[in-house]
Amino acid sequence: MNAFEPRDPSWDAKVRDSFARQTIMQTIGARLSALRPGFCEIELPYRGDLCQQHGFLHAGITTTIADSAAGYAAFSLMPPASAVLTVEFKVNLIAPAAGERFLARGTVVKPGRTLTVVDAEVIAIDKGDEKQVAQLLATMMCLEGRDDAAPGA
Amino acid sequence: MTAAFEPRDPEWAAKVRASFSRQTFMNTIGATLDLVAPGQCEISLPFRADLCQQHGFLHGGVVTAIAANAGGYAAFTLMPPGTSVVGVEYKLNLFASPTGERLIARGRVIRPGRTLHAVEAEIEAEKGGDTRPVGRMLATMMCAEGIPELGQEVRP
Repeated sequence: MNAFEPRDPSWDAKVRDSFARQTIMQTIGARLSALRPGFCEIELPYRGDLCQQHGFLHAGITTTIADSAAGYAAFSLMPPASAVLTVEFKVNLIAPAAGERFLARGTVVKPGRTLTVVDAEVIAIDKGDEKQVAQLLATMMCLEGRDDAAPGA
Repeated sequence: MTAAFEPRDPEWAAKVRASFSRQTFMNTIGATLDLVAPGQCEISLPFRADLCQQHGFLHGGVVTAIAANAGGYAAFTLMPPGTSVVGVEYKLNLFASPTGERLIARGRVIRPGRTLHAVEAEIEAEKGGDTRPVGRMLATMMCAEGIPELGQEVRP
């Protein structure tokens, strides 16, 4: 991982505050498990009510934690008084999302003034074994002059 | 717009509805299967404040969930008996915030194949009777042969 220099001294607090406002994270039981400049990890324990038809975690859930991990990795490097927005992403579903818990690890590839390229891997942990189940490549946008904490930003 | 596809399974509609009803996540978020036709599927989701990102809009992962399902089940209508549908990859562009009372995902098959199906899904937000596009997905769905859909429970 590259050493990125945050442009906002409050990068840690603003990411955690923003994460706490994502109601879906509470709904599905996800938590922010690690945060560094340009890196964010989200952890989600398996739940039977978040599944697709075969009892694996739904791809929409895998994508939810991957998208937020990627978005917050990018947001950690954005300047004060800005908001983060997902522009697009590509997800490869590599293996069925089977496991006791899941980790989405977002890493900034290239930070930019407006657009930041970021990737995220989703790892399933099953009886101590780690297996990658998904890979995401995303473009995040920095909305300058818009406070991320403002509703409807 | 949609070509007339010929389903290879006489139970195409019933199997899609049965599979959808086994997706616990769809029940958890309150999504409904509104239309199933050969090579087509529509899913909608009423807005819910507990499925949002930090600005109070539906999270991109939720948009993805109904778009991927609409695309996946559009493909599944054309798959032969005794098979299962698996998502391989997708690309989603989000071009507007999903505001409004309801989110609608319309999936359709672009090109069915023996193993891989190219599908797409349009996502629209409905607000006060008007709809506007909020995103678009292009996806690849795989037909997994020899893995029947019904009665397969593999919960860890």
